[in-house]
Amino acid sequence: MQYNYVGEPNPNLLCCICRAPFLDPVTTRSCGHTFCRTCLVQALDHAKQCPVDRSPLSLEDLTPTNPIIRALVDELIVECIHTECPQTTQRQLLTSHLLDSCPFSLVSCPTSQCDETLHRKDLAKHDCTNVTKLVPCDLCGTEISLDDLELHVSECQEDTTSCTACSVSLTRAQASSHSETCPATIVDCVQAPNGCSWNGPRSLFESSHKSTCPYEAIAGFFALNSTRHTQLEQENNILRYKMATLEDTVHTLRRELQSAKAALGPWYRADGVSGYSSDRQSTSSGLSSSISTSDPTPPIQDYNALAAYFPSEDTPSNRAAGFSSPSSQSSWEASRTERIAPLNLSTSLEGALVGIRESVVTLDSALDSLGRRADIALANETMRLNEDVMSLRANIHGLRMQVHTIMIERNAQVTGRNPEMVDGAWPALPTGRYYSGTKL
Amino acid sequence: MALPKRIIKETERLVADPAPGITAVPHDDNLRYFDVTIQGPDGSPFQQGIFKLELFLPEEYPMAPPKVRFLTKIYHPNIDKLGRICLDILKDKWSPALQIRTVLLSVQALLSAPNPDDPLATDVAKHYKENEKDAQRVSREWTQLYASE
Repeated sequence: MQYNYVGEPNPNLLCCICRAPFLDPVTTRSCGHTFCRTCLVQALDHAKQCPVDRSPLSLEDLTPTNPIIRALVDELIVECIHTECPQTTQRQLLTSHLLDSCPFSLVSCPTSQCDETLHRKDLAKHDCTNVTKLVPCDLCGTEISLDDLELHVSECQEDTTSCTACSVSLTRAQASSHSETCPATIVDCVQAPNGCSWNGPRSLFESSHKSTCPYEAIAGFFALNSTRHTQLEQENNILRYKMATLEDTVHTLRRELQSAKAALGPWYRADGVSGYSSDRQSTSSGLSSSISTSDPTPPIQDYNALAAYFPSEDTPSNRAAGFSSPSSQSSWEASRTERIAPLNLSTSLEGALVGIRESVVTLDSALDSLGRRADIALANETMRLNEDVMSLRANIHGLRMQVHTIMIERNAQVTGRNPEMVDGAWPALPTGRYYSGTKL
Repeated sequence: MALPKRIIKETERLVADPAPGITAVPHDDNLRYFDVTIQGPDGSPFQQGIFKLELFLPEEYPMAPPKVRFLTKIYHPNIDKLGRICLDILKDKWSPALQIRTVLLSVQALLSAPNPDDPLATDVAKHYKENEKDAQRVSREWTQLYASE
């Protein structure tokens, strides 16, 4: 056994022949040198002398080495010989480790019927119930498991049976070939597929019926006919398949067309509406009626009715002229109908959408400026009215003052009282205003 | 045939801790075959020469001696034209206790101490015996010619 020592062993314990720690060391009686027993025995085979000092030596001159040396080498620590096993142990204990505990040692399954060898660690997982003993079949000698034996015997090719028609005894393997040749077996006429109703033993068919059968006489015609028939069938199948494929394609195209129509709405126009519908009538009459009834899309007739909502033509210059004088109320009114953005049905759907979008943006800005103008006008009006009200109020006030003065004067004249007496009644009244009021 | 542990150990030590003036490198495809160089020992006519040798460990090694042969031409009484060496430990005096290292050290020692009394190249041995000075001159010349870098 090759040991893997842990660490460097003491060089005094190395055999000078194998350069490894002594294994079962022996010492020479004459010169006292120590070697492994196997190393020295080999060396003495080549030369009867001590490998160290070349003194004459024979196997009889060897003596077991001092027990101290033996113990020193036996207790050296070695790795397990299985590289997967991390265990290290004294050299003298490695054998028992391998025999009793190393999980990587190969052991045979303890079940008597199972002869599998596996790692000790896998022994617990090992399930040998599936492995059953094989027994040979009595008839054919094939090795087979006990469970399958019954089934095997019932169909074993070596089993003997007898022919039902001629009662010859046969093995099963021969039986199938015999039934095709047995002269006693009842057979139908070979022309049975073509209508011959004769049947009887095979021997009789060959000897008598074959020559008299009316169908056999025109066998050539049948053969020719049947090949043509199969050809036609094949062709028919191919055509049917093609037909199905084409129908599928038509359905798919129809669905796609409908979804396209739905997406396009009024923008959908086939190349020549009338041409399309007439085409469609002719095809739909040819195709199955289910296709034409399942078509939910209404025919496109309302193109002209829709066109009324969308003025057919408006040039950008026209539009620009309309927006060039927004301040003028009258021109706004006049050009109002032309301000609506044109929707050109002759362009693509995308182009029309872009046109609409542009119009909306323009409308938005126009509305914005209109609102601002209205605001300014309203503010101006309000200020002017405010001023009017103020001046009116002042006038009324002056008039009131004058009326008041006149009334006081008249009272003074009537009662003869001094007008200065009532002056205190209006202490807040500024004299200036009073006089200015009088001047008015 | 697996390589014995002893050979692996010896090779490892030769590469990791070579003897002075001696190198031995095993071939990649045959670990029993070594390319060896030995420096000529100081004070000998082979001083400053680098001598190439081949060394082969036979199947019976270490019970049988290694086979060693000079590849570089050398003027030495114990080494012939084919590079074969007359050295007792390579023949009858081999012991399994010897190893590659000791063999190569012995060869190096043989360069320091030619032994014309046990010759292999008889003409060289005769030259050494009759006129040692002149023979050493030739040895030096050959070393210059064949064993310098």
